[in-house]
Amino acid sequence: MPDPTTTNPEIKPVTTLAPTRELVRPQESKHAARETDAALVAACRRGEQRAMEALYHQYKRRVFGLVTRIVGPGESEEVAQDVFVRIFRGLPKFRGDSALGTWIYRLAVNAALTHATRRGRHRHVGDDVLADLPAPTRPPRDPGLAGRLERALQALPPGYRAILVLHDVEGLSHEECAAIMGCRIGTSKSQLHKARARMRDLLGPELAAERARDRKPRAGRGQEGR
Amino acid sequence: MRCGDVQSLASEYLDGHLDEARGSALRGHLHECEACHTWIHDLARVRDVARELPTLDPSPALWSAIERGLADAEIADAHRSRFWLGWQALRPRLLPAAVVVAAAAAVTLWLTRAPTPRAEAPAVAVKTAAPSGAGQPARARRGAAEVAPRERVLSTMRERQVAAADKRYLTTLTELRGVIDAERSRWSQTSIGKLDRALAEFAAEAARERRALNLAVSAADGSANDAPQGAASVASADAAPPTAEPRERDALYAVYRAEIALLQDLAIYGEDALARIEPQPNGVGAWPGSARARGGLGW
Repeated sequence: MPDPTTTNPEIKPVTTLAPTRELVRPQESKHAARETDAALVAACRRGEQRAMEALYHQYKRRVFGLVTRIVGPGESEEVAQDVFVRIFRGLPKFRGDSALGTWIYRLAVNAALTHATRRGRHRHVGDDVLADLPAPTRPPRDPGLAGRLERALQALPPGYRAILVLHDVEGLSHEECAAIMGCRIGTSKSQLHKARARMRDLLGPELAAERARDRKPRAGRGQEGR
Repeated sequence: MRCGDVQSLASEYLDGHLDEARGSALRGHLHECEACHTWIHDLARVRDVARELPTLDPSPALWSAIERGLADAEIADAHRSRFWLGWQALRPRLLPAAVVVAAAAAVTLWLTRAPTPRAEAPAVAVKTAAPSGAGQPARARRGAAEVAPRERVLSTMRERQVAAADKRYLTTLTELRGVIDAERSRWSQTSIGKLDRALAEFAAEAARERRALNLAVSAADGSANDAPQGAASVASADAAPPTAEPRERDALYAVYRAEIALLQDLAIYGEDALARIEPQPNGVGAWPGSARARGGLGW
C-alpha cells in the first residue's frame, strides 16, 4: 500500500513536526534527575559523608526557606535541623515512588505545620522578628513591600502559609503542591486563592499607597501635556 | 460575568489556568468594573512580590547541628532494647504477612457481621424444633456446635477493637479541642458563636447515636438470649447476632470523624475553616466536615 504522505502533497509526515521532539526533552531531563537523585540516595544510605553533605547543600535553601516562612524566623533553624535529621534517618525507607524533592518538601511541610499547629498561636510579628531573618542571597526589587509580605505571612493560618510559599515563593505547580500536601489539585487551587485574598487584605494599605504612587507620575505627565 | 465570578476565578486567571472563553469574559468585566480591576491587580501584585521574595540561606552552623542530631539519634538507638531492634529488622518482612492476615480477618468479620438468613436458619431450627438433633442433617448439628466458640472468640476480638477505636477517637477529640480552646480567644465573636453551635450539634448528635447504639446492642443481646427458649424466637434468626457490629456504631464514628475533620481544619486554617461548614437542615450528617474529609487533605 502506498504511503499517503508521499502520494498526497497536502499531508505532511508526522515526523517532520517539531513539537514531538520538544515534548521528549522534559521527560529525559526528569529521568536524568531521578537517576542522579537515586545515586545520591544510594550513597547516603551507605553512610557516605560527602553524599550527605551534597544532599544537604542541594536542598538546604529550599527546606530552610520553606520552614522559615511557615514557622517564623525564631525557630526555623531548630525545625530545619529536625527536618534534615528526619530526611537522613528516613532515606532507607524512601522507595522512590515520588521525586526526592517532593518527598523532602513533604517532610519539611509536615514538620513545619506540626510545629506551627502545636505552638497553637498566631504571633504578631513585628520588625524585631523580621530583623532575625537571615540575609537574603539576592535583594528584592521592592524591599518595602517584600518585607511587609514576609511579616504578613506570619499572620496567615499555617495551612495558607504553606500553600502560598510552595506555589508562589517556591514556584511549584498545583500538581506538586497537591502531592506534597496530600490533597487534591482542586483543593490546592482553592486554598491558594484564599491565601492570596487574605494576603491582599493584610497588605491593603501598602498596595493602595503603591497604586497612588503609580498614578501620580501619570497625572503629572497629563498636566504637562496640556 | 459578575463581580462574584471574578473574585472566585481570579487566581485561576492569574495563573493561566482559565479557559479562553471565561478568560475573555473576565477581561471584559475588568474593562467595565474599576473595583474588580483594582482587586485583581492587587492579587497579581501579591503573587509577584511573593515570587520575588529572596532565597534564604541557613547559618553555616546548621550542618554541624544536623550532624549532632543524627549522632544523638544513633546514640538513642544504641540504648534501645534488643527486642525493639530485632522488631525493626523484622518489620519490613512481616508487613506483607500482616497485610494478608488483616485482609483475612476483615473478610471473616464481614462474613460474620451480615449473615444471610439461609445460613442462620438451620442452627436455630435445630435448637428449637429438635434440641437433640434427631432427624436434622449432620451438617446443621455440627454447625450449631462449632459456631458458638468461634463467635465467642470473634466477639472478644471485636470488643477489644471497638474499645481501642473508641479510645482513639475520644483522645484525638480531646487533644484537638485543647488546641482550638487555645486559639479561639483570638477569633471574632461571630466565629466563636458559630463554633460553639457546631460543637453543640456534634455533641447532641453523638449523644443521640450513642443512645441508639446502646439500644441496638441491648436488643441484639436480648434476642440472642431468647433464641434457644422457644419456637417464638425462630424469627430472631433473621436478626444480627449479638456479636455483629450494629450500624449505629458506624453512624457514631461518622459524627466523631466529622468533628475531628472540622477541628483539624480549624487548627490549620484558623477561623476561615468555619466558612466551609454551613449547617444543613438534615443534621450533622450533612455537615461537610471539611475539605480534608472530602478532598483527602492530610498532612
